Amino acid sequence: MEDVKTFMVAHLKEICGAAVIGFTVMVVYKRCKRKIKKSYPRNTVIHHTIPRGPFAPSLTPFALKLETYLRMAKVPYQNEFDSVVNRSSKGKLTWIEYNGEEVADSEFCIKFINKTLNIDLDKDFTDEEKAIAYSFQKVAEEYFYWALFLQRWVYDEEGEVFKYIKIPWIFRKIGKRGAIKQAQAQGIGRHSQEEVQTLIFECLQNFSSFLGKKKFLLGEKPCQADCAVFGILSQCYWHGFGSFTEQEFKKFENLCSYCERMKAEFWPDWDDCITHDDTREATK
Amino acid sequence: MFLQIFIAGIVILITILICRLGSFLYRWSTKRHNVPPDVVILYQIGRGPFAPSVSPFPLKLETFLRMTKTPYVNDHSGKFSSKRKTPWIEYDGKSIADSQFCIDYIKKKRGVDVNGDLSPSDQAVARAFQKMTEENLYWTMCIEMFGEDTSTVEKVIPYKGLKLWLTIWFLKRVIKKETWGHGIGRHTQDEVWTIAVDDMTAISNFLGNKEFFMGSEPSEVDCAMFGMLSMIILNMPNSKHDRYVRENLPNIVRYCERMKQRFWPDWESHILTSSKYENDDGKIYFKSQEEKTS
Repeated sequence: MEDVKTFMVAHLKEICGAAVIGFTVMVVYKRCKRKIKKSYPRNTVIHHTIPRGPFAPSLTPFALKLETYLRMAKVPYQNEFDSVVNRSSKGKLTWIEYNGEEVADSEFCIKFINKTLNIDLDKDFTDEEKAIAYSFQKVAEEYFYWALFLQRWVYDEEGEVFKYIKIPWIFRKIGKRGAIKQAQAQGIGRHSQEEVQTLIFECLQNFSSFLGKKKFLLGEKPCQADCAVFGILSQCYWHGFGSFTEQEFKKFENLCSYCERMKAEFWPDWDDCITHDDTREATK
Repeated sequence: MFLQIFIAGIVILITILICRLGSFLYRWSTKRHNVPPDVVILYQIGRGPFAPSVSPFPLKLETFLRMTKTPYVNDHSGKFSSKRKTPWIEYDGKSIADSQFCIDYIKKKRGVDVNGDLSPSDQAVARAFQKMTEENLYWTMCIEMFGEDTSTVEKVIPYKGLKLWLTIWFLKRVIKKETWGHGIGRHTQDEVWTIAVDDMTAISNFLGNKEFFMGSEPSEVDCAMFGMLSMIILNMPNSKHDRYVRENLPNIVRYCERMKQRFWPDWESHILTSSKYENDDGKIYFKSQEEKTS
């Protein structure tokens, strides 16, 4: 301890100088990176997201939601799998660019595209039906999502998912601490693991009861909210990795069929958009 | 050097022990209500100036107790649960935190079910709206009340002077942290407002002309919806939410009035600013028949 203190006092000028240089280099690098922007084709949505997943096109539900929406709305788009380093303005992993304008957050991206391209996927539904679908989307994304988040990052700390989320052990530990703090801030993190897992089951039961024998949330035809719900449920079905969530999910046959139906309807090229357990590159 | 670190460590340890002891003594010094085991003790933060609570969750829970005629008593001391949440209950010797867990526990213990006529699909829809309201709309309301301008919330929190200032300062910090962790706090004010409008519109569109949320009779979801929506029209005077609902979604205002008439005929006696206000700390509601005749 004394040696460290002596060393620091003796080389104080050099240490401060190194810190200032390092900081300046970082700031200049970030500024340059921002200026060197790729040029993209016009009138094409550039979807910035994370690399393809092993069994579903993404390991994050919001990227799958957004891309499914783009397919449902038949909007020309291309993917850039760079969002791990090239984050949105809100620090999130799913965002878009369109004719030079950047939009963050999957839901705001969808609103932006709807407005800009005059799209309304729900025009054939009544206000009441749309309200119901919207409420299920919110349950999936603002409540159930947190239970999945805890399951993946905290309860399944050594889970198989980390074979595919390739981050060093120390970042996983930091990620877990961050996850606990976020979940506590949201509220669900104050419950015990048993209570959260009960909530997972109840949510799934709710989705299943509402879906019933219908093909999609609101009946024969899919609606915009199906993209969001599919995004969330896909993580249970294809990226559950044998966890509690996957085991519970597979008890609900109609939810499994729903996922398969959405996949067949909007992802006929599914096999080209996954890495098949990291055995090959996704070609799309 | 080591001596200094050691002394600092001892000081920190003693401080922690004093805080723990203080908290323990506080819990034991506050009067505990002596009620029969089948009476729920509902711990909440006290009455509000314009509604029986300044928070949606105590109002939801108390409305549920009234809807199911469950014997209960209020404790307005403001004690928090072990999960550092409020409201919470003690029932039959057990402490339960989180308003929904409390409701689920009471339903199980007492065998009550106010969703009897609803199909599983309808119950799922009800639950979805409740979750949307409590996990999404609620945060937009917190951001509105505890944003840059806290003049509205100052009228609603029933404290004065330094206590009021400290409470608002503390809650602002907590809400900023919680909404950032949740995600909604990372949006701009305009984006949050878009989310709020979408949520309130969905609620109004689903409610339509129905008397209660799921039809002509009230059900469990009405407790949560009334708890939250009455905050907008009573505890957020002249806020964006309040103005939007009154100008564009009048069915929500009428709905709250119906719920108030049905389950809170004594509403005025639970409002701090009313001339009929009575402190009901310790008063037992819905005493069982055996209690009344013995």
